[in-house]
Amino acid sequence: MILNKTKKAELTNEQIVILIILIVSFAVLLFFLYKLNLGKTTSKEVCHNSVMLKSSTISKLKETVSLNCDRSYICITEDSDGCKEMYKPEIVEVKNLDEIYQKLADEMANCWWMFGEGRVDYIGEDFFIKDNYCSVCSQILFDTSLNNIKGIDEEKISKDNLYDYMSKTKLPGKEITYLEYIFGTTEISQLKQLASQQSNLEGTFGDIEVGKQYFNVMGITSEVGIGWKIAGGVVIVIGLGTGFLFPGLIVGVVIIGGGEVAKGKQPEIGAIIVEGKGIPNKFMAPTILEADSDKFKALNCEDIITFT
Amino acid sequence: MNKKGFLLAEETLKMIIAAICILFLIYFLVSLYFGKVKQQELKQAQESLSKIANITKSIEKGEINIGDASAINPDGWSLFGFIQNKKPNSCAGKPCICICKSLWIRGWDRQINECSDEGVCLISPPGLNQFEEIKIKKTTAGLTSVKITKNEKGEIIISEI
Repeated sequence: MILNKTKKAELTNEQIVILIILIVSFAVLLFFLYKLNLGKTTSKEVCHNSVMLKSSTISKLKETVSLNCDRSYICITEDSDGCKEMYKPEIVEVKNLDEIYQKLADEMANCWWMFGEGRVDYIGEDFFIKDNYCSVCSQILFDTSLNNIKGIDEEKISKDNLYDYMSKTKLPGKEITYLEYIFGTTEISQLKQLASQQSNLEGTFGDIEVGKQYFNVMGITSEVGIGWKIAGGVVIVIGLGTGFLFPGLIVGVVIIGGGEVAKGKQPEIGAIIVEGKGIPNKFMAPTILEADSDKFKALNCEDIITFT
Repeated sequence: MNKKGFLLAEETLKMIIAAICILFLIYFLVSLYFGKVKQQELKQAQESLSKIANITKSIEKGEINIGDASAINPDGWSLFGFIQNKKPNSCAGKPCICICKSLWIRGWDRQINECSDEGVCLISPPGLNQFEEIKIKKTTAGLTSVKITKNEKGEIIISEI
């Protein structure tokens, strides 16, 4: 009997085997979670949560909460061996133009969602010093292999076609299109006509050049300004404070290359300014512009609040 | 039966679990410490690049032709110029200046990847000349300063003072 009592505290071989199996299973589970790469979704949610936290913090304490938003690096390619110019990008393999548009539309919608869909002020107190705050949600490389795709002419992807696609395609699992989600309208042709107020030519969203890197960028303005503060002479903002009637939530259009428009060049829409929903701030809706180009600089981003 | 000197499977298992826990704890504390240090170093690197950016902007605008950026930090890191071929991600495919840790073995683009992962980069104005790595000295060995000049050809040259 005494012998039996002392044996009760010992682990049996069976228990040891179970323990080892448990430890190994846990390790295997961790390995698979790592391989599934759930981190990408997590970083978007971390950013969204930090935006929400900052916006809900009372204004005097906003400075104490920092945003935790990282820029993601994406390479869109037709060839699985491409994308050598970028380090560890998310590689998106596409076979046709619609797949490219789908990825870009998703990225723009994700960016809009991460920064609160125009419903929240995530800037805080220091808006008296600066005005335009930009967030580069993703940096996208359009691999040269995309030139093999039917419909890509002269190494260019039309952004007009991208906006057309966004006006017709619904968000996954929702009854509204990408354009309605971001701009509150599908009347993008009306917008292009309004952009032509600067000249007799219809506005355009321009092109994406294959082989180059682009920013998917959005922004917020201070609640005290009338809208996007422009870099003198480089861009024209039409609409803001002038009584223009734009469709949906749109309150202004940033036309890049003001001087060139005056010379008779087709006005290029660099970004669209939308009204905040229930807040006085204005927002620059997500737009795709060449990384660190003159067009991007013309947006006059005074601060970029995403980490590289 | 003399079993005193024999390690039972139970004890061995306990020892293994204890060792795993201690290793995990050490890993956690070391990560916490180095995470904090890395944050400070990245901030220093960002401030140093801001100094360089202010000078290059003034040169680009034609306000000055020469400028010094003193007290480049953090010590032990290096200043690199990526002008041709592959570049770190944040350079967006354009010539750039980066501050990051210098690697001993640099094959297979390891240095570029290091600067992508753990460095800070600044897209340079057009005309930047390729320059050799500038090692940032330990503070005990004096401050590291760089001179940025624009020559007659319009090229921007970065060199250590």
